[in-house]
Amino acid sequence: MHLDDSTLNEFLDRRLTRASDRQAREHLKACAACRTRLAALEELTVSLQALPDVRLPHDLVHPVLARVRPRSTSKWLTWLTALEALGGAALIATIWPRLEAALATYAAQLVPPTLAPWAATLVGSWDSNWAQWLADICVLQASADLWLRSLTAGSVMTWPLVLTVGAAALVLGALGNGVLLRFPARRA
Amino acid sequence: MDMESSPDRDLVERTRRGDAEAYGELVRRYQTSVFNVCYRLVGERQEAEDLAQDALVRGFQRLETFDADRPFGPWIRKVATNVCLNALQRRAPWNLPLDEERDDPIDADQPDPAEAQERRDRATRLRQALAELPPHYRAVIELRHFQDLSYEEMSRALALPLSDIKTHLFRARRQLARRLGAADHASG
Repeated sequence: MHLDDSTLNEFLDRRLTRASDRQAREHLKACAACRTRLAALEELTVSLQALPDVRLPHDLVHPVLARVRPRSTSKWLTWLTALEALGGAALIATIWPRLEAALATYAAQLVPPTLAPWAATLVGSWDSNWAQWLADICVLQASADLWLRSLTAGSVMTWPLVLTVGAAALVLGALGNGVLLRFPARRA
Repeated sequence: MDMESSPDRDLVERTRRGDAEAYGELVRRYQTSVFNVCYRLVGERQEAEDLAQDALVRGFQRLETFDADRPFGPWIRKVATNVCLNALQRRAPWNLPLDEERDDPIDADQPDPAEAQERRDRATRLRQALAELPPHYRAVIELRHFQDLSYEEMSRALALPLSDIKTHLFRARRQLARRLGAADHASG
């Protein structure tokens, strides 16, 4: 009677009790077939242990770090996006009157005569709304001016300075996004 | 002490305190062995690389559960094994051809060309035979022979009764030996 597969494997892995181990050794001394089976298992173990590691094709440090740091990235993006939106709004408010005048000239040439009265009403409505909005802004600006003067009496804090700081924030925002795009995740 | 000479334990502690760069150093140290666990289990390089990345991200997310008194390498390799087993369970057919032509084994020494070629051929046959095993057999071979786990540890890692582990292991070895015997016969 030969050793069964389970016993032979547990003998190989040194998991048999002392008594069972002694019995297995006695049997192996006497049984060439079981010695051959054990030798095959030992050869397999040696082959597995000799299997070389394969080189990793790509470094995983940056892709992994990009995936484990999403929280800080999104926080930064939120701030930068808010700053950029503010800067963009300030820019549009500054250039819109000139842009609107230029566009109106071209629009007058493009609109068919039948639609001209309707277009004139529409532009008039825009103008009226825009004028109202500018008036509101002027009131706000005057209030802010007063507030700034009260806060910074005697200092150099002025509106041009505030606008310059806003523009700088815009540039920093663009640079910040550029930095954040340096380590995109490699995985699709 | 700089990052490269820091022991794993310090890097784990620094990662837990929010220093993602410290985890980057752990990734640098263990990415090749994690990739090789995945490659032996899934048998396909690109998928192995993706799963290695997933495993390293999972390791970061579960770092709180890691006992810093134990070595980090075996732990992260077990995480990789579980990630791969989950992936294998989701995948229907598992017999994918190995991309051996591009395999680049890490050799400590440089034997003569004929011996090197013989080693490569042997490794190719062994990897092919491993890839042809059913996933649960591949898993027990990986845990026993490459990660050196005891039967009890394998039982816990795979959530299987000890009796199943023994049966899977000796059947996996038998199938592997037969496939290798057939491959050797075919190539010899």
